Amino acid sequence: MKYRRLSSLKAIVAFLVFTLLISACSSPASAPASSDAAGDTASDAASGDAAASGGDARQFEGTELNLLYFAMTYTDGLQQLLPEFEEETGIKVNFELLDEQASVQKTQLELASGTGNYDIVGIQSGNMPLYGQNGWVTPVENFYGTPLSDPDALNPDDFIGSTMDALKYDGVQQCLPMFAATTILYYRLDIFEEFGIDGPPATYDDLIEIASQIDTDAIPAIALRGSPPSPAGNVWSFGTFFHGEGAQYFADFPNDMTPTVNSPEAITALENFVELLQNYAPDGVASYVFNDVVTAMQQGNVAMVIDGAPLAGRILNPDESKVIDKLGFAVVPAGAAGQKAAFVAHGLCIAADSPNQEAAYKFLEWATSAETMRQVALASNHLAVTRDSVWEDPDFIAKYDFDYGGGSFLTAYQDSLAVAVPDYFPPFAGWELIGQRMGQAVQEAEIGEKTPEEALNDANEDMIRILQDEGYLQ
Amino acid sequence: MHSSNAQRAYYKYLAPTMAVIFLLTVVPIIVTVVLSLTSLSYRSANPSRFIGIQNYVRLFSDERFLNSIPISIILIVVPVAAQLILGFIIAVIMKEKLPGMGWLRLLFVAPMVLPPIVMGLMWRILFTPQLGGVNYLLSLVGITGPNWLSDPTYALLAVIMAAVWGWTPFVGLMFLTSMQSFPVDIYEAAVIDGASWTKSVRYITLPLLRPTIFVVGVFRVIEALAIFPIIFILTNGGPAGATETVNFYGYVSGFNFLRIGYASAIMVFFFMMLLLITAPSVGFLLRNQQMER
Repeated sequence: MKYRRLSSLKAIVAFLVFTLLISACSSPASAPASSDAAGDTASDAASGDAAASGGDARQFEGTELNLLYFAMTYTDGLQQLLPEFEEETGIKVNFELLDEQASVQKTQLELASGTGNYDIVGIQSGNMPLYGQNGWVTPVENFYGTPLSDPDALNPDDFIGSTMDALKYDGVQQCLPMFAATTILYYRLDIFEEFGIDGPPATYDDLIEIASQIDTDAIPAIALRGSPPSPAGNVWSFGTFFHGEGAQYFADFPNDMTPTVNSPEAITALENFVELLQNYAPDGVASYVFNDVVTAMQQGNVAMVIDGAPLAGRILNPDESKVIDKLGFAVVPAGAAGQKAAFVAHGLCIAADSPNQEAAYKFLEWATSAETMRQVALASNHLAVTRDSVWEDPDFIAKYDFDYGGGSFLTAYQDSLAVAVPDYFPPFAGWELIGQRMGQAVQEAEIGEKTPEEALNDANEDMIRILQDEGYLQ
Repeated sequence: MHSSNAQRAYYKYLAPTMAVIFLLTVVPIIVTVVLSLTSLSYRSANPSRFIGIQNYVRLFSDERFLNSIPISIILIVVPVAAQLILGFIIAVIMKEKLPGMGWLRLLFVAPMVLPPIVMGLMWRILFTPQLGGVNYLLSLVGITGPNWLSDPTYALLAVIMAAVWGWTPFVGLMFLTSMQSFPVDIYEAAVIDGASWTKSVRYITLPLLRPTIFVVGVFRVIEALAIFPIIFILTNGGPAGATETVNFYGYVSGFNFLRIGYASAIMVFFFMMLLLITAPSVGFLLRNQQMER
């Protein structure tokens, strides 16, 4: 009797452990994606004689490349052009596109565990130090001047300098940029006219003043990202307020990493941000992610948004937009420290654990070449191009220079890039930890759980601990 | 007593299962425990090293972690209690032979076939302030609905509601099948003795069902943490950590923050917490079985 009881106890404990592991460890984000990645062991037959055959377009024929990133305008356009590349080179490229957060997470897990499942991965400039420090990507600079490289297609000097700099680590070019983003203010010309307001707000005080005048139940004054509490979410939106007031994340980055997010400047910035969200924004704005902001503007449900300039392609997409002919564009308002716009570059990298390094380079070179970028911009809603020559292209200008009487969109975009903060997110591997804690504080203030001052004081205290734990602070 | 031969045969038959369990559960648990004693973090300025129980010490000054413990407990206790009560009521009603009950039963078990991810997506739409069905229904009775997912109190309530909706059918179904095996003559005797319907539920159904309630309750507690996908989709632990359970924080620490050592410590703690909750009830369950024999 005793024996039987023991064994059934064991079985139940084992069952418990098993259930626990399944419920705890299965990440829903990775579940739908694994099918593509798992069984892939694409052969790299061609790499052996690569150098010898030089510029042979079909030297990697039969190679299969896997790309991992999230669905964005650039990948949309690239997928449309892909058949040409595949036909020309005989390389097959599989796109695995998730949502943004899931893709970043999956990329990092794949690279950290060295699975070699992906040959090309996308990157946001904020993650460059993380990827560089851990050696997760093969520096693209390694291929410069090799027989494999086509100088006309590569043409590094044609890239916008700031986007290239954002994807360097230790002074070495790691990845190539394909997306340059900054923030601008979009506002409804018709609503401004209706309320007798003659132009976009020059300062954050003006912004709040105007918002209080034009806010109605039918069309609230402004939408901003209230969520998720992370750098890609509310910290992205809040950053223009934060930098605008002259606030800094650290006492003297990167020499003195003492956090300073509870400075008087930061508190003022958060008070302004919260005042707008709590009083003059749509209900539920604290859970608005970037898609909600885009949709609110696109569908005519809000009078102003401050968000990525590249999103104009979607906000003004002729098939969906209800605000064509109604929008004005302006550089973000100024705080005590002037106008400070967001900045982020997205790029494509060669995964260090990819078994198809050279074929991956060929793809990267093609995908970021001026000609491809131009065609992508014309074929999709991608206007966040990273090459000077495309910015100056007449077809590009004809397609994207929206102007409905409130001034040129491309001018506002370029003026914003000029005032964009290069280190909008401080470039170091621990940034995500600080950014997420910041996002939490911003959200606590948004929903009124804490005052801006309390939220930032608590965040600052936690950040000190996090930075000490991770060895950035004594 | 069994002969030693029979015992050896037991082991032989159990060996393949044990090997799988060892590989899939014991090994990962050991690795997790080892990792929890290191400072492994891809975001650190320093290389990984052995730091003893420092991660565990850190846990108890981490407010976000401390905040996640009561939330885990709430999200185990409240939904399970509600599921048991509602499941009982529904089972009692469904046991009655009323017209149309066959269809009702079919409708009723619908949530059981939905994956939790789908449940989460569905509820997220229902809770959206402008388009969601929940606030519309409330407005019909003159109540202005809250911003479900952006208010800390209501977000927690929203998760609880989704969990109750999702797993009450399972509980009800278990109760119903158990009730259908009850001898009819007791009820007939009760009717003859003049017992009302409510009295026979109170004095016959409930006592007979007690062992089932207990078993189902234990299972629900163990599985209550399968609520993870609902949290993931519905609130992502927010707003401001209001729906972040211990295992969700462990997941965020590991997969978003890439602080592998720290995340492992959180998960080891979580494992202990779960053992603490379930071990006594499992022991009780076994003793009960013993007595029945």
